[in-house]
Amino acid sequence: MSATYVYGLVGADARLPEDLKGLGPSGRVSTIAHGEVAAIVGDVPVDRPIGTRDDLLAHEAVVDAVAATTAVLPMRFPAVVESDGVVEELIAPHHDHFVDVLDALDGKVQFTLKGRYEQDVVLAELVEEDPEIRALQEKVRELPEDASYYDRVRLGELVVTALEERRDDEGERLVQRLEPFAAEVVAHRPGQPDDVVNAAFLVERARIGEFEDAVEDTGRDLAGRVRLRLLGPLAPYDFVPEG
Amino acid sequence: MTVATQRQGGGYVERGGGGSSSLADVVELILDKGLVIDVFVRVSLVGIEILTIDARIVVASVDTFLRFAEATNRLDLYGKGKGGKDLTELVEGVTEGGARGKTTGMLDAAVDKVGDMLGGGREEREPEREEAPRRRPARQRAREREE
Amino acid sequence: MGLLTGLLGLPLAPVRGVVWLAEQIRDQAEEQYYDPARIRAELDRVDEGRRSGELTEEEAAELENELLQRLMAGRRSPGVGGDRGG
Repeated sequence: MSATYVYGLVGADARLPEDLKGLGPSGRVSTIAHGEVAAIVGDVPVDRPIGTRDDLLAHEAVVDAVAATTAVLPMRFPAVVESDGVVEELIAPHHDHFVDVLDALDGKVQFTLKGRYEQDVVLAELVEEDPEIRALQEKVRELPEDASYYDRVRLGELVVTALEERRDDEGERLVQRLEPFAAEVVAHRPGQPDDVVNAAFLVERARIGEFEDAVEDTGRDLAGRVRLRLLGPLAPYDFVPEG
Repeated sequence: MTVATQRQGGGYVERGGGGSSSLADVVELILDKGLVIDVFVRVSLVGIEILTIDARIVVASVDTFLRFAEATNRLDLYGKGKGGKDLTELVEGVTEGGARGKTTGMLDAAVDKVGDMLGGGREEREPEREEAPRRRPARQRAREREE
Repeated sequence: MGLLTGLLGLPLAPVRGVVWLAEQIRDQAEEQYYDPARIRAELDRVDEGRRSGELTEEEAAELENELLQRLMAGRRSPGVGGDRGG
């Protein structure tokens, strides 16, 4: 069986960037079209397991380079199919569905906004505002490390709880502030207690400048307290119906 | 206030994506999201050789609490902290034989108590960082300031 | 014994055997070890280390690959991923 790597699906008439570099041994990326849908494909590493950091980065680089100019349905990693099956098994059986999804995504790109507290600034806020936290912090400072174990756990627990409450609130307001600039939003619960936001915005290409400006304004307003990071343009990973 | 970023744009917001993403971001995007189709074939993935783990090397959820207690503790009297990352711990942990990572005293102690019950005979065990000097975190511990 | 109560959130009933407890610890340890959120947080820190200069590019790449191996290994539950190529 020979295998083909599939990065994503685009309209058959899509023009792809020329300098795409895939994760396979040849590095080449091309397309296989059927009807109105084309698969972005490349070769697969054959003599080693897949899943190195270079593999993942290459996959994402290809998909997102395409997304910068064209609607693309991104594949999950690792997306390997039998070479013979690209048309018959992948595209043909789902052709009309793919066309519909690509139409819905046409003219839009994803941006993912992540934000994290400037830890020391916000922790200082918590200490100042919460007497219980403050008292426990002072107690912990005076005890030798061994004796303060349970107090430290308790202190951390209080801090984490307060932090999460604060970031849930601020994160939500942050998303609401940017929502008007997007066609769709998917907000995730951030991972760490000091992560403030992790949200995907589907933005019309014509409004990208507006959206970026709004994010920049928000970044300025939050400077010193929250550090924002904006990923994109990305393929619409968060807006793809699964399977 | 000047704003210098490593990426394009002159702003307050760090930019990424489109090929200049961090691996953590990429992992979140392409491993958990995106289209999955039943005709995907199974392939050999990395990590196949990781079979067992040492229970002592895992961090319990208590570790998150301790981490934030530590950060809070490090805030000086004027509310400004030191930040600082204990990467040395991480580097030493992971590169020593691949399957190791950070430990906490909590889990060590728990495992040790289990060992005691089986007839070990040792009393309390110190938190890991005091027992294994090689893996002492590079970051300064606030308690050394001896307030 | 409050220590163990805290760890597992379970009362340390004398009825349960030591082996059972050890298994609980190991299971939870495995869960934590393979927890994708945790691994992603570590990847984040490696990236910060790379950018701050605390880690060289080689060190960072090596750490990332190790973390990815752990991530992939953890996903290899029945029905996910696989270990046979074509």
